[in-house]
Amino acid sequence: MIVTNKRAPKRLCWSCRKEAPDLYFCSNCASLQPLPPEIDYFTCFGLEPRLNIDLKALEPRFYELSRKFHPDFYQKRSEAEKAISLENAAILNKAYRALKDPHRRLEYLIGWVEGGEPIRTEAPADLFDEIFELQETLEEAKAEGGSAEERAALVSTLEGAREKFQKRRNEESGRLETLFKEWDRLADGRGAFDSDRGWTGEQKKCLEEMKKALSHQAYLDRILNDIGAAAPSSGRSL
Amino acid sequence: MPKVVGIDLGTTNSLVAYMEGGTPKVITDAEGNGIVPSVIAFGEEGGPDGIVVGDPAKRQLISHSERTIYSVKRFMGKGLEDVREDLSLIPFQLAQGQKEVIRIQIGGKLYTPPEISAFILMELKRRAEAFLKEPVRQAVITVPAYFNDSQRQATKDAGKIAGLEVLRIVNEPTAASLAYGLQKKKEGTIVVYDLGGGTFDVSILKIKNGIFEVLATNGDTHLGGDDIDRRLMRLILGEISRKERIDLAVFPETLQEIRLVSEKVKCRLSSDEKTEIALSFPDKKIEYRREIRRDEFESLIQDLIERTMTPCRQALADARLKPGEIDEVILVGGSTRIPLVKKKVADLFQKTPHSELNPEEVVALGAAVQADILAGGITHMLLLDVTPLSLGIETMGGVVSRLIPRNATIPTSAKEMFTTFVDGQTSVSIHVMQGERELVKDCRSLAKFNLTGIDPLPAGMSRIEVTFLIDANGILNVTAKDLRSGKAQSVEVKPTYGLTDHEVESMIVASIEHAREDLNERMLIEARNEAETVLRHVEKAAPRGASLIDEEERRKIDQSVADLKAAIHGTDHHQIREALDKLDQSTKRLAETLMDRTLKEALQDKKLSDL
Repeated sequence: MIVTNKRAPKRLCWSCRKEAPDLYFCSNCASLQPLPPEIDYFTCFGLEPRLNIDLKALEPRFYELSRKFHPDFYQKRSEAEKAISLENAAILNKAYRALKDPHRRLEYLIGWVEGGEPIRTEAPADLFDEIFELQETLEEAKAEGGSAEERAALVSTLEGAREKFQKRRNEESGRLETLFKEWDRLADGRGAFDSDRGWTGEQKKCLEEMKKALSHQAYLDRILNDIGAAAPSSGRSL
Repeated sequence: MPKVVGIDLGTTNSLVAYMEGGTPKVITDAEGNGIVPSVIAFGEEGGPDGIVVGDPAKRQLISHSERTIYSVKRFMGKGLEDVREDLSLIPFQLAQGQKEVIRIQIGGKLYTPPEISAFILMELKRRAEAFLKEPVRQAVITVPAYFNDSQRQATKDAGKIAGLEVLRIVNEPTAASLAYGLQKKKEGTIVVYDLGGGTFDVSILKIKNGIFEVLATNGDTHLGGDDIDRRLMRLILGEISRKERIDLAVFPETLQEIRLVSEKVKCRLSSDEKTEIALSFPDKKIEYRREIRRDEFESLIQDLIERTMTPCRQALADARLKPGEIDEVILVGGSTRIPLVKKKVADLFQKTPHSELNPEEVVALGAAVQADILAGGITHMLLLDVTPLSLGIETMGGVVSRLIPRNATIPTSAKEMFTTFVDGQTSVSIHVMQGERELVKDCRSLAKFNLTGIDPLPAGMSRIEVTFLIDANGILNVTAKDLRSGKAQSVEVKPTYGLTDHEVESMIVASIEHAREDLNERMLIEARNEAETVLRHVEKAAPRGASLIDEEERRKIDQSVADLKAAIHGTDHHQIREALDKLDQSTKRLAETLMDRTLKEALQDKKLSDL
C-alpha cells in the first residue's frame, strides 16, 4: 500500500534529491524517508482521523510498519538512514500506543486539533453537593473509631455513593460513545481529510463536548477509586 | 562476514553463544564447558597482571577472598548508598567516600564495576575467538529487563572497555523468548519468569507472525539466588554464633566457605527432600553439622519468592490481561529450579510452567538470535521491547513531570520546551529521573543534562526544544535544538551513578595495554626487531663466507633473505617467525663454517694458557 502524503508540500528525497511522493520510501532510490515533523498519528498509519477505528486491522498494520522502520533492519546502513529509522520507529510506537486505546486516541485527537494544554479531570457541576458530602464520609471512614453501628452506616453510605457514581460514570462513557459516532459522521461528511481546510465549527463543538465527558469520566474514576480504597469489598468491614 | 556473538553477562554465571546454520549454540571450552562463573581473581598487587576469570578464579574464592570478586553485576550503575545492606556479607572492600560510582578496592588499586565486568567479557571474547578461530569485535549483551538507564549504560561501558562494539543491549527475558520462539515456533501470549543469581524479571509478550511484542515488564533488580543463599548463610552463622559464641562473618575466607556450601545445599534441595550441611573449621575448633529438610528451607525463603509475585501481578495489570489469558509460562534462570518457585508461578498463572529449555543457557542463546537478526541473518523475527520504568524530569518543588510512561514500546521519544528564567542566562540544567513515584526524592536520578552556550537574551525569550529519546537498547539519548536559530544546542551529560564518556575512553586505553590486540602488536614489533638484527648479521657475514659455500647454498640464503624482508613489511608475526626459522636453517652451514674459521683465527694468536 502506498500512502501519499497529501498534507505536506512536495518533498525531495534526502538521499537522491529527487521528488519523493511516497511517505515511507523514496520511489527512486528506495531510501527510508523521515516521517514529516508535522505528521499526525492517523496519517502515520495511513488512516483518516476517525475515533472508531478497526482495531483488528491496526495491529497487523503496526507490525508491518515496524518491519519497515525498526532500527534492527538498518544496522548496516548509513548513519543518516539509521537516525531516520530510529526517529520513525519512535513516532510509530507512540502513534500505536495512542491509537490502540480509545481514551488515549481521543486525548491525542484533542491535543492535535487544539494544541498544547493537557486535559484535566473535572467534576460534573451538577454533582458538586453530592461530591462534597462524599468527601466528608470518606474523611470519617479514614479516621479510626466509632461504634460498630456507625461504621456499618458509613459503609452503607459509601456503597450507595459507589452505585450512584458508577451509574453516572457509565452514562458519561455512553455519551462518549455517541460523540465518537457523531465525530466520525461529521468527518465522513467532509470526505478525505485535508489539513488546509481546518476543522468546522461543528467538529470543534463536538470535540469540546467529548473533552468535557472525558474530564468527567476521569474524575469519576478517581472518586470510585477512593471509595474502593475506603470500602474495599462489598461492605463487610472498613 | 564477521560473527556477532550473544553474551549473557550474569550475576553468577556468564555464557557466550553464536548462531550456526540457523540454530543458536553455546560456545564451550576444550572440556565442553559453556558456563563461565562470573568470578574474577586478581593477583597479589591488584594490578591487571595475573587476573584469572571463571572456574580457576572460583577456586580462589576461599584462599584469596579479599581479591576475588563475584556478583559484580549487583554493583553496576549503583552508588555506595544503594548497596549498604550487602556490605556485611561480601569479603572484598569497597572504597569509601566515592559517592557516584562504586569503586572496589583490590590491593592498592581501585576498579569500577564496569571495569571488572569487562574482564569477564574479555574472557568470553577470548573463548569465542579461540572457538570460532576468527576475531570477535561485535556483541549483543543481555541485561535484566528491569535494569534502569544507569545499569544499562554501565553494561555498555563494560563492553567498550573489553574492546567490544555492543550492537545491542537486550533484555534477558525477551532474549529467552526469542530462543524459545525460534525453537518451538509457537504463537500466543507468553510470560517469561526469570529468577537469576541477583535479579528478578517478569515479561509478558505476544508472539505473532515473527513479531515478539513485549506488552509489559516488571521486576526487582536486587532479588535473586544470592539472596536465597544468604538466608542459609544467616541460618548457619546464627546457629554457630549461638553455640560457639563466635561471629564467623568477620572472617572473609570462612564467610566465603559458608556461602559456597549454602549454594550447594540450595541446589541439592531442588532434587532431594533433605540434605546435610557440613562445615569444619579446624583452626577455630568448630565442627558444624545439621540436616535440613526442604520444607524448612522453603519457610526460610518463602517471603523472597512471595516478593516476586507483586511484579508479576503488576505486569499482568499493565498488559491488561488476566492469568487465564496467558498461553504459556517459561522459566528462566537457575533459581527457577527450586520447586517452591515452580509451584508459586504455577499457582499465579494457573499453568504448569515450561522448563524444558535449559534455564541457564536460554538467555545466551536468545542473545545469539538477536545478534543474528542485527547481522542481517534472520529477517522474519523482530523484537519490539519496552522501557521498564517511566522517565521524567524534575520540576518546581521537587515534583517529577512524566515524559515517557513505563512499558512504552522502544524506541520512543518525548519533546519538551525549555527557556531561560533570568536575563542573559546562557545555560539550563535538566535533571532526568526514572521511576514510578511522584517526587524526585523517591525516583532514581539518572543524570543532569546541561544545555550550554545559549545566546544571552532577555528572560523567557530563548526557546530550546529538548528531545528525550530512548533507543532500542533502552538507553536515553538527549538532544536539543535552539528553535530561534534552528541550530543544534550542545548538551553536556553528568551521569549520577555512571561514568562520563571521557572516563570510559581512558579505561579503554588502560585495558588495551593488556589486551590481546596489544599482545599481537608487541609480538610483531619483537619479531621485526629480531629479524632486522639477523638480517644485518647475515648481510655482514655473507661477503666473508662467500668463498666457503657453494652456489646452491648461496641461492637458498638469498631466497630466505628476500622472504624475510617481505615478511617484515607484513603485520603477521607468525610469518616473520617462519621466515626467520627458514633463514636460520639455510645459513646454518655458513654459520658453522664461519664460526669454525673465526675460532681458528682467534686461536692462532693466543697462547693455550690464555684460554
